[in-house]
Amino acid sequence: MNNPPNWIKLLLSWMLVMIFASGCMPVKLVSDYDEQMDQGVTNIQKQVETILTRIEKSAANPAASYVASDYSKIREELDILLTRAQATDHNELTIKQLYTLGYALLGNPPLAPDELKLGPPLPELSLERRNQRKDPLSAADLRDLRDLLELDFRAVLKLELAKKRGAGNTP
Amino acid sequence: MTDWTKVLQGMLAAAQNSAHAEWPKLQSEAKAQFQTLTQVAARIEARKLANDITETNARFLMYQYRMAAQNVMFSVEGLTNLLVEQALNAALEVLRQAIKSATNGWILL
Repeated sequence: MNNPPNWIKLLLSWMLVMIFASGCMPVKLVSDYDEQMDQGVTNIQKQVETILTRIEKSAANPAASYVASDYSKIREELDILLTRAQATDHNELTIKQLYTLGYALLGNPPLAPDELKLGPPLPELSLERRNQRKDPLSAADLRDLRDLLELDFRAVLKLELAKKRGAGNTP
Repeated sequence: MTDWTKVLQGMLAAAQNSAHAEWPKLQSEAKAQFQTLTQVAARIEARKLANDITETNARFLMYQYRMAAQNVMFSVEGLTNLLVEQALNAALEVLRQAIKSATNGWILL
């Protein structure tokens, strides 16, 4: 049996090298750090802080402190962040976190696609709807609410910041 | 009344089970987040038992609690994935160096 020509051997060797090399590229399970995501979530956190301070000042009647534009700004920022997150590979957990944040905050949140399996939101239990109600929030309610929202934002930011890979930067 | 210390221990054990070898690097952050979750849950439960919270506010706070807990779990899952990714890439680098040295410096990987 004749040997194949040299150019075929060369081509096959090159193809083998490429296949091997592509199979051994660095493993990527989580997207890269996104500074705008970090900044955007921090902005939303600041907006929520403003809302909470306002609610605290009229805790006997939270509806008196409701400002619709506060929430529409959050919705706008969240929509932008979701578009960014969805355009990035290996970013499913951040996308889920953003939808979950929206469910916690907004009466009209962006809805997660079914494949993310987040379940439907309960908008009547969001911060926005509670802000629209007249019945009071006690100091203890507000303390628990603050702790929960802080934990919520911390969880999102902690994951984003951990994506800054590099020496000495383990999560 | 719920034993929240036991709940916290159960959460940590479940997370440790999922994170396997990466757990020591994850433990302190997971513990801090889980602790806040169980502390808030304990406070809400105590207030409910003492009739110190309205039904509207209890439902509102429990929903906020569920959303925060969900995001904490996603965060822990993401941190675990990052650690696994780092471990796999470290192993791959060892393989890369071994092949480079076995092929007299050819950079194949």
